Amino acid sequence: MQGPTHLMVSWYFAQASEVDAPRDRRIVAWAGLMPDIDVLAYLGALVYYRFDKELAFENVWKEVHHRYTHNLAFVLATGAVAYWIASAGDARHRMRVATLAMAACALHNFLDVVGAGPTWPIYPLWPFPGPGWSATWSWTIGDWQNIVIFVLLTVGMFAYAKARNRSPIECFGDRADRWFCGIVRGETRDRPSNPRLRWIIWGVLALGVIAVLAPLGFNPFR
Amino acid sequence: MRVILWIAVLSGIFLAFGWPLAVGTDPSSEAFHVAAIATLVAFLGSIAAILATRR
Repeated sequence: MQGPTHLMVSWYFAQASEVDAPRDRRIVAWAGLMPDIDVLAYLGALVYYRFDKELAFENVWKEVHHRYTHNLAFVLATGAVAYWIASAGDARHRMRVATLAMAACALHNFLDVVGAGPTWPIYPLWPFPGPGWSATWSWTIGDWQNIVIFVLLTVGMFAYAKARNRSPIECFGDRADRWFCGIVRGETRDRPSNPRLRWIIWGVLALGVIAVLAPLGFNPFR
Repeated sequence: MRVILWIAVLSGIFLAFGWPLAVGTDPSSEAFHVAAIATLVAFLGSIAAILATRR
């Protein structure tokens, strides 16, 4: 599934699990996206191969994606980091955040088995040997099922911001969420908005749209 | 509803990590197909229901 879908699903999961501190919700939400950190290898390969997408795909992305970060070992590593950076609290609170972060990270793998296509197996036991695991019926990233889920989550983001004054935009910071919810709820501002923050938010939204459209083959310059 | 959420979460984790080892490595299994889609629907549905009712 697309990165923004993973991020939104994980934030909703944290919210449904009654994680009270915004920092902890962010930790759980980003933990749900963390397996896709292997995209950094692809970006590095693009630079290494001087932006030859085919070479980067064949030599790096095809070999790396889903192999090293979509497994049980990475889930445990994510849990350890979440425990370490969880908001101040006792060990029980940190363990709860770490458990939810591990659940979100593991669910990422399940969602990718279902919605990333049959040609991208995950390797549950890596670094130990074991078969790649994928479903022949798994829908690919551009299939309508993934688009429907993404659209529903995005519509839900607006609806939730309107009704509860909170949204997955919180992943990018409290101020970003206040700004977004303020717009959705039609609230007037007491002081002028921060133009730098506005550019950051629009930039993040543009990157999100590109992250969704790029795998679908959308290229406005073609 | 919270119980359904956690059943779906644990089922999803099992389907991703446990199924290939404990049940079978045949990804075309119809049982896996049905279980995975049902789990996905239960997971997303329970989240939606909890968030819709939570104050």
